[in-house]
Amino acid sequence: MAASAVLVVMPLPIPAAAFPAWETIYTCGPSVSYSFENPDGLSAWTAAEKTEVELGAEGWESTLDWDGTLVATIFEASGSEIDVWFEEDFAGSPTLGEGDCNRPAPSPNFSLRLNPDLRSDFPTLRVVARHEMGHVLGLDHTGWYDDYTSGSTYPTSTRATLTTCLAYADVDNAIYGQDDAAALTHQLGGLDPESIHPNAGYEDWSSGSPRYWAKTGGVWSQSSVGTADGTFHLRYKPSSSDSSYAYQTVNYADGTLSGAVPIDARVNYKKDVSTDTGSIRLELLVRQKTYGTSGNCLSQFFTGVNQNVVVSTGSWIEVRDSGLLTVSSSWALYTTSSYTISAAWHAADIRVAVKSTVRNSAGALTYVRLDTVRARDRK
Amino acid sequence: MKTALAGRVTCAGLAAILSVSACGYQSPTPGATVATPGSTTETAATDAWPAASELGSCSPTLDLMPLVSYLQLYPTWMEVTSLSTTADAKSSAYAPGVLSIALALAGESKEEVLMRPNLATFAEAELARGARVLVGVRANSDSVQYVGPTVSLRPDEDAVFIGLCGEVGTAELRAYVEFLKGEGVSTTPAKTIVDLVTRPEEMAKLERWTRGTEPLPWGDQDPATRLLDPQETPEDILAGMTLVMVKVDIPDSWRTLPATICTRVSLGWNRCSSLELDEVGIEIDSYTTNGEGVEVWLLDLGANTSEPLARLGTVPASVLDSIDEESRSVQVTLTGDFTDLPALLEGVAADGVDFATSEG
Repeated sequence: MAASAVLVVMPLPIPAAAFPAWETIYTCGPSVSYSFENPDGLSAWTAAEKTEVELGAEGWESTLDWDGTLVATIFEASGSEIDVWFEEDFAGSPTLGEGDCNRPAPSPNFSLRLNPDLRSDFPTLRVVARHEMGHVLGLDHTGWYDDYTSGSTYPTSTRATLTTCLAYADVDNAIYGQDDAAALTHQLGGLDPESIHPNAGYEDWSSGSPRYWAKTGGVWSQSSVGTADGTFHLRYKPSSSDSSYAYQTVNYADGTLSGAVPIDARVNYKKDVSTDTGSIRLELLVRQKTYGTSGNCLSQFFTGVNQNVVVSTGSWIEVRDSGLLTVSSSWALYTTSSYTISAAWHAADIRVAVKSTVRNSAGALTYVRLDTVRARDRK
Repeated sequence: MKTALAGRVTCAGLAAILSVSACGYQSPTPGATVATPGSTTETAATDAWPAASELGSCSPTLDLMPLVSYLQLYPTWMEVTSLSTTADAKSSAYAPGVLSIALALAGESKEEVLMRPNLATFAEAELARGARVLVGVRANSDSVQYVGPTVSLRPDEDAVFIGLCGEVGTAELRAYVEFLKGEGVSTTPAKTIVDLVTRPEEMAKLERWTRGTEPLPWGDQDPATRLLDPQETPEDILAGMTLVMVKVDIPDSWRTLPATICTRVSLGWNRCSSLELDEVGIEIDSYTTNGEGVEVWLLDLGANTSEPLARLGTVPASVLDSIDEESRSVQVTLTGDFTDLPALLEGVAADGVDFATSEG
């Protein structure tokens, strides 16, 4: 039997549709100044309203780049790039707001406009301001995993604020989601090719562990001694050989698959102590996500599918594996070959994982130092 | 703020709204007989009806709330019986420039509420054509009762939202109606919108539809398709399992096969591996349970667990029980040739799989 005969039994691929690139690169860039305006002559901004908008809009600064630098700087200043105002035309409509910084003529001013109906609705006002500032920074809507739907069974760590449909449904969520951070790092991180994982340099330990990272076992700590990139790196010790690992998962949403974008993964690694011996292993995994067709949340990027209905996810597929990488006393960098995700997939999850079998002179599993572990978009 | 009634629309329009004879209607007075949402309407034929986009255009750059949220923002729903222009519109502290009012009726009571001029213009035109107009009303921060959602209920039982981005609400309502029809519900957009604003259980149904289908908790998912993964499987489940590395050797002829190799146990699917990884070794992290073997499967390129291609064999529990505790790995060799695949697909499994314990 030839290979072509085998293909007969394969499920038919999902029809590919033309979709644009994930994000539109706006002109505002990572440094955005804004000011409170009132061009429609409504009642003046109150101090409380300004505070809510400041908390929402400037909260983006908390998103760290791969090396610990601020991805975005947002500040209030006179003569600013962005005019923030309550748009009288939005009142009574389902419009929550609009944020952009390439507004075409005849109204070329950059703007962040809010519905005046939100003036007394403070939690919502903050979330909408945050969302619109995300647009100003160049982020677009994605899908399900970016949804802060109240009562959702998805872990909040994998959801973000920029969604096509229900971003504002649960206004109590004042945090910025992992995918928000990933998208912003991807958009503004200044790396080429772009990182698609947030906190790839382990700079942010504000929660007591490397933010957005997880482990199946073992222990880890933050170190600033001889870091490969940025200020900090990760020390990780598995609980047993090959049975625990550190990893991060992100949603690689829709439009990023445009043109079957190849990705690769990389890691910086070295011994913790000079007498240690052993190796690490870098894995790149992908998972297919398939949307349904019913419901009201139509995908921006894939014609005719609904991002609120995930009908299936494939199993995790290991697509790249470094094999055993012997650790030394100096930082070493390893990069996998690239892997191309099928453009026929509605969306994908991407995971990078690092395993270690490094042992100390007594033969016990011990720490290995890791830095800038990430997958990269090679488009 | 309440405003004075300063006029009324044409008799023909009012007759259609109230289902009374033409010109038999006078300016509304307290206690007047009114139409209530949900009642039937007789209308006169008119010119072509404007498309939804003409009554409620929307820029794609605007961020909108879903229909259910929009409707729920407005606790009071009324039907418009007349439209007038306030004599003192600019006295509104809410929004200078609101010029029109709607005299709306809820049950047996009537109220005057503010309506934005652009809404009033379109609403009046719809009324004149013989439509009914429903409005959602809420008080703003200045305690002014004002109109938000404005819906034209047309004689053909269509329903069209009027005002900024109304076309999006119209499209969403129509999509929801199609969903209801698919569920065997006999309805129309006009009937559906009235049901939504008058029956809380119907609004709850729309909310469920809007949210879509959320994934079931892991424990409720089908073990035949669910995944064993540290991010999704409860910790206590994985804590009771043993992670074993299943190392797979495949024939050279399999490397170009458009498929993935995966393992599973009765609790769910483990990872899969791309066949491209053969050069560095296919090693699959596999959660195992005591006394149970690990099945080795062939899946498609997307590792679709709902349609596995073929079970290649099973690593017996006896083999798993005997593996080295430190390496926790087992070697699987697929000795079958690519040409065996059709047979495997027909359910002949395990014949081509040899097992050997490994010291890692």
